[in-house]
Amino acid sequence: MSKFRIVHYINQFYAGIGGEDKADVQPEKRDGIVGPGMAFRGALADVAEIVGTVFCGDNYMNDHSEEACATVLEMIRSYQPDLVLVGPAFNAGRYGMACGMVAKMVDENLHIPVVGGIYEENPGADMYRRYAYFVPTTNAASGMRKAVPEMAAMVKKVLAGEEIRDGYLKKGLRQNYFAEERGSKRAVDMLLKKINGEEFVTEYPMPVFDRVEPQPAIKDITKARIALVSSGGPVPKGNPDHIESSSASKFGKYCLKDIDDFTPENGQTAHGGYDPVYANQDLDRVLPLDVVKEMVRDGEIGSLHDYWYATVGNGTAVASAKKFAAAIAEQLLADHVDGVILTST
Amino acid sequence: MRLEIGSIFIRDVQFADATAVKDGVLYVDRAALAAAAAGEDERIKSVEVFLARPGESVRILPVKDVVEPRVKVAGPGGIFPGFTSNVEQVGSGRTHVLKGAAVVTTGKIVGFQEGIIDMQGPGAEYTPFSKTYNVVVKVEPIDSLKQHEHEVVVRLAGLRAAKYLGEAGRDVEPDEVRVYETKPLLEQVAEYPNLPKVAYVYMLQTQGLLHNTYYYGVDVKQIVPTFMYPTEAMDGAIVSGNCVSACDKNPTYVHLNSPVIEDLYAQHGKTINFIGCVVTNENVTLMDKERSSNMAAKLIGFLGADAVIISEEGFGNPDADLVMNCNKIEKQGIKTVLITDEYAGQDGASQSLADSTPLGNACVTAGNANEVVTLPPMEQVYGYPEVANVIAGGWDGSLAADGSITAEIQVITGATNELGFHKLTARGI
Amino acid sequence: MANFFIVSNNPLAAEKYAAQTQLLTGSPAEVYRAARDAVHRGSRLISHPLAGSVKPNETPYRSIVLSAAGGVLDFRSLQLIEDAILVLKKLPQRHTEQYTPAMHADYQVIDLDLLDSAIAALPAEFHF
Repeated sequence: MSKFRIVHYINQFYAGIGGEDKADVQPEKRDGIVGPGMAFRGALADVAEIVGTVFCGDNYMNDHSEEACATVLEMIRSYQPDLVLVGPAFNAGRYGMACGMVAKMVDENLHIPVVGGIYEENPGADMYRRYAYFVPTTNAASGMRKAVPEMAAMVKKVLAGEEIRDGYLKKGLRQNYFAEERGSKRAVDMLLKKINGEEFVTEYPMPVFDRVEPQPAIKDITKARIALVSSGGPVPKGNPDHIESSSASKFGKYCLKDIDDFTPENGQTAHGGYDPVYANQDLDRVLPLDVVKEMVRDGEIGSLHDYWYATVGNGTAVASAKKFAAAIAEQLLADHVDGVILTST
Repeated sequence: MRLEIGSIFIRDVQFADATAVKDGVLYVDRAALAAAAAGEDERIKSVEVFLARPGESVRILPVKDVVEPRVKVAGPGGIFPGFTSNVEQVGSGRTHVLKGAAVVTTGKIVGFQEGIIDMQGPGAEYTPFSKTYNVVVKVEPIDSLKQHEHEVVVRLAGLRAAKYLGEAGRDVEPDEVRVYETKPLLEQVAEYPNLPKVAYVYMLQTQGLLHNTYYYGVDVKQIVPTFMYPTEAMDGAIVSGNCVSACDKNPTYVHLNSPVIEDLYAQHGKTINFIGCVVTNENVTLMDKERSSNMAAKLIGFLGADAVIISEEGFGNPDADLVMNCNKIEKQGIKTVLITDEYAGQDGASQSLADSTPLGNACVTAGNANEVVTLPPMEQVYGYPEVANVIAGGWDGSLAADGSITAEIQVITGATNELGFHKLTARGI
Repeated sequence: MANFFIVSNNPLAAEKYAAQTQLLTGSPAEVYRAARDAVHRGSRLISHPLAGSVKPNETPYRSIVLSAAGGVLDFRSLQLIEDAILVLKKLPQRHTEQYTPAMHADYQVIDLDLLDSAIAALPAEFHF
């Protein structure tokens, strides 16, 4: 029997092209194995062969996703693979997003399975998990030694057509099947377990929302000190801190003392997840600075904090967002801010 | 109340000169059944009768209701109180059942009606009624009968047909007799003082034309939640007027064989003490939903239940009733298990319910109703074959030239029944 | 003067409840949008926006009963109408314009019946 054909997608770093400085390289393909594919060779030897490797710079993939994906797809298609392997991306946000985008393109266009490796909190995992069997990895590349055999085992299972129940990040899809017992019997069995305090597994986990209890209302807004915070990417013209257009790794703090109104000259958005034209024309649309200053002048609001905080919510990991929020909140408390107007997009 | 259910196992159905049950075969006098179904109803122009057996290349559509032939042989009242019998309290004495037979009514009340039963092929897997010997009753009303009256006419004809066939089992010795009993509350609690007391919250969809359910003939949207002895359902206390989105509507057959009741009785006296049911509704206004869930929760508390099963009917707005019932009952410290189905989209990626609660941590699902299946053509179609065009017409390309239908399983009668009558379920992948 | 109103695209609703109905010409999505706007203006939902089992992508007609505006934003109403809009979005779009006139008439009757059921159960604080 001939071996299954696999194409491996990796980024510029793992392809040996270079690091962050080479993140803009366009897609390329090489026959056979490049980089980490070597580690998979032994593990897959008896069933499959990596017949080609496609790689692309992470920035290029994220910033020109439409063209990049189309090119990558054609390159993958040219090898007529049975399966596509992506990553592992660990916790590299832009690499994770790239792997996810490739998985989506392959799943929707080539209808062949995709196996990947990714850290669970990588934003690419959250956005694209439904398109691939993503084996969970550690957050750093030092986990390669552990990731490779697990991914290889998943590849084998998928190629063998086995029913796969675990060992990957759940895709978040609901799939029908016929149970052994009818629903009413299963309900009675579940009830008995619940009554007896035994462990039971719900068949449909209801979604749990991360709700925040609102703080008590500000008693006198005409005396309160208000700050502006946004995840819509509102930054001074030129984006001085280079906040990333997606998977932001930082937030910025900017002085608003000398700005009464945003114009195309003094503000822009760093956000890559929506059409920036209207925000760049007038950033007040994202961060309502002009109105708030007016209200302060008219005595409707006590005062405005001299700085605004901004980051980009686009594909940013929840863990990162929590970290930013905690840091921002700490500074706001130290500066005696009473309330925050928080805008998104 | 103590009810003996005598089941006469039906293994075939055939047309004959006289209606009778003999050696497990239901013989049907075609003309007599048609006449019985029509009754004295002047709004009926004609009734036709067909037979559909498991494994045959037959499709029935659009299905209005499925009803099991039963007859009351001892005890007060008759089958389907408020419709084909007076309104005496039912649920005690003895009832004979033609187990394995079913009356399937078909009538095109509105132009977009769904409800498919395939007797073979992939569609047969999804409907529990591909395994019954079906007597199909096609009811044609007089011209220009309005939709509301048309619905009543077909509903009543189905009940009369089932009652007529049930009579054939009156003097037949059943193959099996089972006894079901729930006593008045204080006695029932005293009987098994050490077992947890379990009740059943029986939600019924009650919203309007083709969305109604009846209890002793009363439109359930007009009642406040009330207590029901479980055995009442077995004598036809609950009758269906529901058939839109057929996958998760409860045909009268399923109320007669109410699966949660049956499976709770299987544990009655062993691991639980089954103290009774609370029948409640799913109405259109939010105030009705508040009132009914408050009353249902109050009744459950009043009964002193330790745990309940809550079953839903339908999707969308009933999700709100389900969540309210769950919250208000759990908050009294009473444990709940919910039975629902899902509308997670054709790809299974969307939110399944329109409402949710963290207290609903024990949920049984009857599957994703948006799953797409292809039903191959059948040699014979009973009912109104042109309806296939309409089911298909809502969605491009779903009726192929060869007569096969590609549709969501929500068009299949009973596919995701939320009383837990069928085996379909769903899991997260 | 009634202290409730109906947003609807069902001509039968406008015929029967002429003084109370804001008749829209668009799809159920338009009805949902109008109801959501009304909720933001302070109206409360009286009937559930997903009433009935006819899927919101399947029926061309939808009627929703709301209280007259003026109150504070009711979050429960907002949640229900937003969830209904989400349900509509997740279901595939159907070509309701291809329905025959007879089917349109049937969908109107069903929607009117759900509406009648809500009007019959109108809470006591509301009047025509």
